[in-house]
Amino acid sequence: MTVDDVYVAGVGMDRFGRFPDKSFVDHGVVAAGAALDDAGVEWRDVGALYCGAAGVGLIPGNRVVEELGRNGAEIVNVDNASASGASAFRQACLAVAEGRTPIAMAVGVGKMQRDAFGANMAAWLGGGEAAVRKLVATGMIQPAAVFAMVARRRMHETGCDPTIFARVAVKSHRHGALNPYSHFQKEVTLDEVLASRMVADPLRLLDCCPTSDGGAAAIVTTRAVAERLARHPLVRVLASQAMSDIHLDEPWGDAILTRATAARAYEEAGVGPSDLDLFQVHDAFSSEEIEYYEALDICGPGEAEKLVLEGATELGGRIPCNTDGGLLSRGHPLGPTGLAQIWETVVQLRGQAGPRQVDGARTGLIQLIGAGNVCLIHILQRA
Amino acid sequence: MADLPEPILPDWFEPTGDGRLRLLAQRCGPDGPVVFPRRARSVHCRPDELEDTTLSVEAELWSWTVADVGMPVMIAQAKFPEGPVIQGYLQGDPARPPEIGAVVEVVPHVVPLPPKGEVTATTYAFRVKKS
Repeated sequence: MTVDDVYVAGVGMDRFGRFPDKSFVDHGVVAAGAALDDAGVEWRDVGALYCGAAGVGLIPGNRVVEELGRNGAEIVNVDNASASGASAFRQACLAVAEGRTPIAMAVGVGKMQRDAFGANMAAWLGGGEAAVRKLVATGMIQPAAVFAMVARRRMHETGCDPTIFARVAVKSHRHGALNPYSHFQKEVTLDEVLASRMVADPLRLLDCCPTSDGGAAAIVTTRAVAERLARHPLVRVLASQAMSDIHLDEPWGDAILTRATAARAYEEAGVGPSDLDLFQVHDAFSSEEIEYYEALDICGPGEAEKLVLEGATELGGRIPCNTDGGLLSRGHPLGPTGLAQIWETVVQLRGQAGPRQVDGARTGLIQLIGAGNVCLIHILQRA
Repeated sequence: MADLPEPILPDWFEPTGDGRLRLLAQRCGPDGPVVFPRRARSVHCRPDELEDTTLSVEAELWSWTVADVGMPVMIAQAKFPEGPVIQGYLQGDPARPPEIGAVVEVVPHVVPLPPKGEVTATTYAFRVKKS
């Protein structure tokens, strides 16, 4: 199934951060309302709502709809961990592509507890004590540890050192400081990253994304409807691909999975890495970002460090990455994370990104990994 | 493992009799890919073609980290001669981490269980083999 004739009509955000006085429903309502206003669409005209959320409780999309008003739309709740919002966006695209509705909305909501993984492992996992034992048995007691081992292996194979990862964190915070919806809006120096607390050697606190709250939404429609709305330059969904893991021999296969999913996405879109003007990736950890430079063929094997040192993925560089601050700075509330990537890419392609604007941006790629075994890739292009 | 707490999960490992453990795996036929832990099905063969097998008690240290989870915990990945790279705890001094590529052996390891750590169980860990 491809996504011929699917366009992004509107996008909306509620700022990511820590908001103890707001519920995830509050975040969803603000983001959905912003997307409706951006598109110039009335809520009653939305025929399907896909809600991306992880760990917030039962039927989050239904609870957002209770506040927006009961409009009879199909509601589907999507939990794919970090990729929940990206998965919801894909479902909205497919609903329009299949002709099930001319206008669909994807909304992502997130409300994270501090130390959500460690302190509440059983509640997050479900499945009772056996599920917890399976993680504890393999030392899967801290998400950063897995990425730290990937980083250390990379250091062993390429000879790089932790300052490369720290440079990615500095870049992301620089981008996030320009984004009014970002969790962190303050630049950090290389020295500050390298002096921050060690979380999982060689990854330090500022190499790791925060746990955030927030909301994000997107409205997709057909070209005919998008042209009638005529609110913004048209942004077309050139590709929407999703895969799950197939590797057997490694505990971390996200780069392999990304490469396989990207091949399908590039083929569907009819574009290649050299056609991209910007891209967004799942940078839950700074070292993770550079693995995807290579997996997406932005550069060749072993060349990611060179890209970082040259500043190629910074705003103003050859191909900026995570232009809104990425997970590291913009934040990572799980459910809305993928839709925040869509939001950023759409405003970039429309030329509405203000101080973050990538000159002449026409084509953007968005990659997201969920729970280490699903990958979503979308490619958007200004029509 | 008579003097150790109960195994954390059934059918994940067995004692070798010399203080080490053997991980219980499975493969698709004699030459098929090896996976750990054992699963209900494989994408490579029919369920009736899945064969139980065991992994070597020695492997190559692939990577490691010291994770701060309120206390330093060493975690590692080890590449087994049969193919898989497997994650587990790493025994040793966090202040004196090992070299990648070192030979490690699989040994019993007692871990606290969430949420409070008052209950413990035995899992497997890697330990650098003394030459």
